[in-house]
Amino acid sequence: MLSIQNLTKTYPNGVKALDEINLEIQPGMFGLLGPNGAGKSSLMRTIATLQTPDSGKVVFSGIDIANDPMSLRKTLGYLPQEFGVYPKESAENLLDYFAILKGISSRKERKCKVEEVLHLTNLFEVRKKHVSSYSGGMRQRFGIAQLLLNDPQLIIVDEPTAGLDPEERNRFLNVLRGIGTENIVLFSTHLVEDVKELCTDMAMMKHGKIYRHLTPSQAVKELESKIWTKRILATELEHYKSTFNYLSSSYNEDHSLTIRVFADNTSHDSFEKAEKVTLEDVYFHALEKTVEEYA
Amino acid sequence: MLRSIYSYELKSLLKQPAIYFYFVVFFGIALLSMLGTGGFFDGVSETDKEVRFLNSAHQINFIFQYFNKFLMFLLPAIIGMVIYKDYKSNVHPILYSYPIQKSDYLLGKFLSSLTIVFLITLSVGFAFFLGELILGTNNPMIGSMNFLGYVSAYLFFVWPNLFVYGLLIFMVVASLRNIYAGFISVILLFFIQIMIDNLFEGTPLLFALLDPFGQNAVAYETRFWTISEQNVRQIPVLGVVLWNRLLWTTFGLLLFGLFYKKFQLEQETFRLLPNIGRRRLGKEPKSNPVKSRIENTKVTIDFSLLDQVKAMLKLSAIDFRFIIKNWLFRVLVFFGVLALVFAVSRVTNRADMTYLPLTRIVLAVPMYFFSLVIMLVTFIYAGMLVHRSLIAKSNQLIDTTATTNWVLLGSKILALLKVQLLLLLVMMLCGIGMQLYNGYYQLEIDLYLFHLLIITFPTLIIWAALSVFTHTLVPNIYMGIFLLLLIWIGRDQFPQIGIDTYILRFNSPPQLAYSDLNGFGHGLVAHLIINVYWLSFSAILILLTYLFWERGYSHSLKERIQKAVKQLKGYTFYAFLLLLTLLCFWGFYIFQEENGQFKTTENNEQILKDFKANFGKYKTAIQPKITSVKLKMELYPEINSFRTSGSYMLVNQSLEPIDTLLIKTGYDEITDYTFGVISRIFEKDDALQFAVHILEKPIESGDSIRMEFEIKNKPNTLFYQNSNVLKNGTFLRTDILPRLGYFFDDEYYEPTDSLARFTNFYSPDADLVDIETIISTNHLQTAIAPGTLIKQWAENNRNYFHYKTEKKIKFAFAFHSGDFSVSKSNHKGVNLEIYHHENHTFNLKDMTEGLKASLDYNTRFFGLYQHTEIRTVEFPVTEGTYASVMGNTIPTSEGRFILRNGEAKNQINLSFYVLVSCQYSNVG
Repeated sequence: MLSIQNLTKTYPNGVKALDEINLEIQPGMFGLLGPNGAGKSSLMRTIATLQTPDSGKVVFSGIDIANDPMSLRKTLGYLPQEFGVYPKESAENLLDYFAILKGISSRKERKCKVEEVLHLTNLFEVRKKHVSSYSGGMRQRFGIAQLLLNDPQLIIVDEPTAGLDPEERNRFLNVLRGIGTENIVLFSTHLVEDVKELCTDMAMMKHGKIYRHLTPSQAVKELESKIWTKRILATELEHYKSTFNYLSSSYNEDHSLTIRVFADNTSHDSFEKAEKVTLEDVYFHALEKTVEEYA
Repeated sequence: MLRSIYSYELKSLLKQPAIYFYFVVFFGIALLSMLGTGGFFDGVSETDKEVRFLNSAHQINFIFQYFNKFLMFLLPAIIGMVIYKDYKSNVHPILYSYPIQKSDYLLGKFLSSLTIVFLITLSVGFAFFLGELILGTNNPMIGSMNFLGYVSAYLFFVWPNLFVYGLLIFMVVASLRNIYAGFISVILLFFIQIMIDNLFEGTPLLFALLDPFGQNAVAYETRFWTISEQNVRQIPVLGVVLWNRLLWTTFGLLLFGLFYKKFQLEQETFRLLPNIGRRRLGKEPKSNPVKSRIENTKVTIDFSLLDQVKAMLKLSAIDFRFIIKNWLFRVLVFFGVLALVFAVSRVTNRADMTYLPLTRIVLAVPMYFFSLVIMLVTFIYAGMLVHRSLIAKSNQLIDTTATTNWVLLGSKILALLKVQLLLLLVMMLCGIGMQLYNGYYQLEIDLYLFHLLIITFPTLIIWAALSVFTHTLVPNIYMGIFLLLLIWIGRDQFPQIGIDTYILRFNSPPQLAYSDLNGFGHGLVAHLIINVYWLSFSAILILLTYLFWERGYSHSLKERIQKAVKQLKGYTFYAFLLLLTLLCFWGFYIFQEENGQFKTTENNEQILKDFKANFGKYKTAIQPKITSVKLKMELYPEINSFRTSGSYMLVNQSLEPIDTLLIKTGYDEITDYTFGVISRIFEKDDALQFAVHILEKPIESGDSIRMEFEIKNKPNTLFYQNSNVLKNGTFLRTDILPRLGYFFDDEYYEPTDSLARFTNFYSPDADLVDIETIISTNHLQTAIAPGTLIKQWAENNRNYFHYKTEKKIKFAFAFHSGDFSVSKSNHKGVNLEIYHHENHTFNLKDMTEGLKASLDYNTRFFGLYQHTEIRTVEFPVTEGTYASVMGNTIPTSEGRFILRNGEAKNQINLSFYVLVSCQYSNVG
């Protein structure tokens, strides 16, 4: 179990990236949802022992990260938001290099493990090509491959699907699905669909704070029967935004807008109940709330 | 558009702290060198000689020469960067799709960065000017204020050079889109300049024209200037200087014009060569279904000590490969080898004195060039290794593994050391290659290995440690390299600013010279001890690097320090304490030895001046002459010491009685002496070992007294060798013996009449003397003193030799001792003996022929040779490269024994000349 207690971090430029974060995370896929700048990456980096918090602590399976980061690293797999690779090295060689760094000292074992992760991420066919020449999706899968080398029990993936085409994203999520069962996979994203597809538990984060912590199905259930849609003209949008709990809108082919709003009960006859409450609604609803709180 | 690009880039550059750093650094160095040269740190000596004004136009221009070279570094760092950053940050695809004119873009960027570079160069001028003010007009080296001198230096040399080479660098970086190419170009320029210097040395005009920096042109135009002209005149900007400037400016502009035509604001750069391009693998192989059940391989994750060590070795092999596969490395090594070959061939093919390519010669001269390459490689690749994961953006992946800091650090240091060893090996192979090519087969592999591994390599290790430490602390790789270059060049200047002690002069052990006779001499131990001292310092540096090793992210210096302090616990802490103690111990020992009782005195000029003031009145005092010398000399080569007892017969050859004796004894010796009559010391100067004695009863004209003395050398310390007794090849001269009279006048006596032919103008205290010597040395060596060998025996495991001159000789003696081989022959009744190192047989035949020829010549013109033998004795090259005649001995430097066979003609001429002068001065 991963336990985060009162984690706080303020950067020298005054930005409070983490504001008393408290989270308990069980094995399974945990999605961390939030807009850009919410503090997701800061949280991920802190847990991954790359940054020290100003206060608070992180405990994983009895290991206090502040005192004993090395023990955590032995069982950690981390895929950062942005990473590079040494140029002109094949996937095979690079994975061997990372395997040494992860502590696999036997050459034979390294070879086997590297082959295994290459198969798992479907990169075996291209293992001898330079990683620096891979496409975006392949590179992300390579990131997973290096992560898996030490059979990690804590896996942290930071915004992994940003920039992937649909096919690549699909393949990536499949791989992730395959590994997430007995370990903790902490998975941050601003794409709601990812969380929807994969996660057994989630939290929403903004301005360095955790706003909601619940499972996706619970979240959707909460808002059942409370989401309403209506078709309006583009010019009317401002009026509706200020009058109702506006969530989101989308353009129709005839340039009219279909808006979604939140209401505990019917607010206006012209609204229709939404067919299905989506996780987007949950997301925008949570954000709305926070915007209001700061208004 | 041009203006907006120009002002944007200018503002952006002005925001960079590195710019100010460079300014301050150049300012500091310039100021220190001005003050140091002007005697600010150690006082100015007053001489009557004409002084060169430091602030004359000529001198300013001269000093700027060195700064020109250093300022070149700014070109890739600033001008190269201003265009490279667009490619590095990948902003160029966006930018080039805008309606920007190529001319505005290129000129805007170039001019703005050039402006900044010019502004930085002003720091040097300011510093010099400030230095002038600080030194003050009372300082003899400061003349009247010379503003024009500064202006001309900047307008005609500093700025044009930077303009032209800035253009070049800008061009290179913009076309290749690679900043390292910029650095290589600077290095290339230096190499070209050195090549041109060496190739055109013989033709001064071409030499002046082809100097890319313009300095040789200045030297050419001012080559006949006297010091007073140098002090007053401005640098002539017409004539050759103008041509030089025009030539190189045109050259630069032409190249730039070509570049300008080809440059396009496009995604990919223009190709000079056909497409060797990068292959982009965009295609995904056809999608295979993800295997649902892939065997999970069980692996043992092990971070035990042994496995970490194994990991470190494996990682260092990877880092090593990274370095040697890097194209920049290969280019540097290539140039290094070129320079090395060039340097060796110069030594073996010089116009006047050409030497055989002995191993020690190959190691001495080319070392310097190749060591530049090794230094550069160390500085650059330490940075590239330390920052490698950061540059490749893999640091987050690597830092989250459980591999410890010392494994990561250790692998990089090991890789660096391996590269250094590789380069040393390359050097050795090149050296051997050159020797074989020149037909010289006495490869002394053991000397190569000893020199490179025991003497050179420790120094390199220390630099590697400093490089890794610097790059770990300094986040910007270029600043790190710059700092290291600074330290490397600057440490030689420490004595100039008054720091003399070896414990502060970073990695600067005393210079070693090698002689086949004497090996590295006594200096070797001192050298090694200094190396050990700095090695312990390096160990501390490495430990500090480990503490400060960046893992993850830190957001302030305070945080880094906190992290470092946190790591200082347990074994690390004890190791730190241990190393610190070790360092202090060595430092203390060295400090003690440096300040030993018998250190050579400094500030000699002042001492001499005081002496002349106090004792000058004795200049004209008449002294008795030494007519005979008896010596009993004991040499101890193993402990580099000697003891001598002896006596003089002093005869008053003047018409007046003499009651005052002026005795000067050897500087490096402790001499006790007494006279046959009662005397007392009237005055003395201990610094110059001079004493004035008053005799109770004067020596009457024609009368004589005895003087007896005991001499031993002042004790040797680690750093100061007070005796010339060497382990092999001892060469002692007359300066160990006491002399009479006031010896400090600069004038020599001119022979005034024909009688003077019988006196010796060289030594006023003696004419021709008899000398009898019993000289002993260790059981392996032969000792030589003036005269004929009367008797030779062994006693108490030592060899004894008794020499006596049959005819009188000049008062100039040579005493040798060494493990010699002897080559003997006889020519018309004169024994010719050559005492030499057993391997130095190359020129023996020619030397002997030369001796015979000159004997014949001299006998024909000057009469018979007065002794029964001529001994040519070899002495180590560390004592000099000359040859001389002393009595019946011709001490000859080792250097002359190893002249190339083809040039041995010179050797014959030499013996010829030397004997002629000997005969002439000894004619009777």
